[in-house]
Amino acid sequence: MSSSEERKLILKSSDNEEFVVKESSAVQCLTIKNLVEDRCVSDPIPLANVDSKILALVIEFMEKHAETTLSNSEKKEFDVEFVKKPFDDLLELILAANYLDFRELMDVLCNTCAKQMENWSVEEVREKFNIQNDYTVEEEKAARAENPWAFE
Amino acid sequence: MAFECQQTVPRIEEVDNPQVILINNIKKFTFESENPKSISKLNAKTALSVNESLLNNSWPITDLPPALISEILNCLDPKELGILSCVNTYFYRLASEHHVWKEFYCERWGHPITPDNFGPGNSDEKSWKELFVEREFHSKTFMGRFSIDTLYGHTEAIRAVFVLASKKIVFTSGYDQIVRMWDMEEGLSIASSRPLGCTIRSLAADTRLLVAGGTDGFIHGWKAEDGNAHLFDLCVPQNQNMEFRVWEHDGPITCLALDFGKIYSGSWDMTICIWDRSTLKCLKVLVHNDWVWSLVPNDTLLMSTAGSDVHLWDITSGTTLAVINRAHVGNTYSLTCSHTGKLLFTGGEDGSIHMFGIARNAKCNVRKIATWIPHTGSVYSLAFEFPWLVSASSDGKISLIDVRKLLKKTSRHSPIQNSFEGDHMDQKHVEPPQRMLHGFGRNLFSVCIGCDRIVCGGEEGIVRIWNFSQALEIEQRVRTLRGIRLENRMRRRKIQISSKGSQSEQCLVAARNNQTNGDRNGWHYKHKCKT
Repeated sequence: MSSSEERKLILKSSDNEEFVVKESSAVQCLTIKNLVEDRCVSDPIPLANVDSKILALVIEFMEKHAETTLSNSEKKEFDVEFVKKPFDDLLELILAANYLDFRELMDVLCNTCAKQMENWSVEEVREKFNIQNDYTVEEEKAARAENPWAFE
Repeated sequence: MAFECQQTVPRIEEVDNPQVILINNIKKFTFESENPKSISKLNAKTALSVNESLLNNSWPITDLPPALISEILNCLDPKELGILSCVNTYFYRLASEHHVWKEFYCERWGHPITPDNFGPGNSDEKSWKELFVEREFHSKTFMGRFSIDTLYGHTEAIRAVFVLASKKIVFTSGYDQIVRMWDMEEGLSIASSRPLGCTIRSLAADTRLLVAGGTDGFIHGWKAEDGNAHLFDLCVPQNQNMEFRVWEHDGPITCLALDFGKIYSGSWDMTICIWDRSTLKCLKVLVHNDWVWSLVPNDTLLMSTAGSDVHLWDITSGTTLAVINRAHVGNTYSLTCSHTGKLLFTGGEDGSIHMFGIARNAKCNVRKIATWIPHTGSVYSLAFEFPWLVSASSDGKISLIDVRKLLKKTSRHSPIQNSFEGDHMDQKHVEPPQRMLHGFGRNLFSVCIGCDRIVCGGEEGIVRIWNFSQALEIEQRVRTLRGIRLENRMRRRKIQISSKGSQSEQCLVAARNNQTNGDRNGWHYKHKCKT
């Protein structure tokens, strides 16, 4: 076992909580990977845009996916459970995954959000996302007429 | 300043002071310091929707930076994008400009053929979304009214039909050994070649090359001439430069295909040869275990049927990626695939058609999505243009199947879903075809789809072109006529009612007395009054 595999990194969230992770899992996040490769690592690595609750979740995901002993279907099962969270958390996770440039997590999250939005009607989208309808009546009619197949 | 941040973000329900919510939300939004626009939008939104957020506890999705919303939109189907664009002007902008529409379009139909819209960036600019919407709407045309063109010329059964959509030319050939070219729009013969020496069982063409293969195992080809409006000159006596003949196979060639640099030929000698187009040399030989009936190349993947098995090959390495054993009971005669190569359709001797989904990951995963049994005889030929799958069979019928509904069930979002779960459900779900075209008495050997038309040829030696290009216009006309008729009827009724009212006193009294007797009596009275 070479020492580089054992290397740990300390990640510090925006609210000053510190998390210890294996370097091999952390480099799934390209932002962290770039920092490590450019040797700009100062222990601990400050992540100003991610708070501790979200960072904990990201680390959980990261470590699960770094484990080479798990099969793909097991990872998928984990993903399915992982995304059973309130929508706000998912959105915050997306922001974090974007900041950390964690492609896998990003894909899983976007797919979940998209899946949730499947089969929603226009009114449901507005209600669930709390979106104000700023269409005038004519504009809305025009928009609906443009996308007739969506309402079949 | 209003930036007195608290260490933890309290849940909104606990806080009854709206002021505090504002502060906490601003703290959250230090993420988007690069995106000042969204912060101001946020301020406006929280001011407006404070009450709602007290109730809903939801974090407006619109406050994500547009790039991230785009990421989510990337995973949606056109239908959902359509719905999203009706939600809000902001979403409308996002959803419409979205480059995903280009992806949707190209995924289904490849790049648009017509020269006058090269996509956005042209002066005649149509956004990809508009193109997609048009095309999607246009695909309904195959459910509408058609007209049939019958092309006579062949003296014996036709074994091969090929449509070159970009030039609107149909090539046909068969037992009479002659390759004929027809103009698809006019329904007239353009040219015919001399007899090639043996039954021609397969044809393939693109704008540079036409190839024919037959029972004697050779490939006879014509190169396109630059000045010729019809591309190929079939009549001219053997011209060394423009025609060629190459030999390689030991048995009849049953299938041919062309792609950018290669020619593929499959034969009953159980092999497929991959040729280089420019040198006309055979580069690779793919060996099967049975007669090769059909092949279709897609990018780096080559799909072929041999006996009752379906093989998937990697073209560059020449290795087998996957095999579907006994795809059909009896021979698997026909094969076609979608534009992206993600969907594979096979038709067999048992009269059934299967649809498979191909996942190109580390190993090639193939799973059956659906089955149809529209025919009572062998399915000799298949053709696909999103979303229509056309099959021609020995029972003399052509079936049209719309695969869109099935695609909804097997969603694109398979990373999370266990992709094998959906299988068992779908396999049992056998839907009948949307449409069947009749009119042939005997075997149909080959069918092609293109330019709103379906072209088919078979044992009778006649080429039939079903022309659907007017279907949408006719539909529109029928609808307006119906509307006019309805209007007229309503107008007549109004006149009737008003004329009843303006009748003379006598009729009025009589009518009043007979009010309960309904229309019929009223009519009698009206008639009486008039005379």
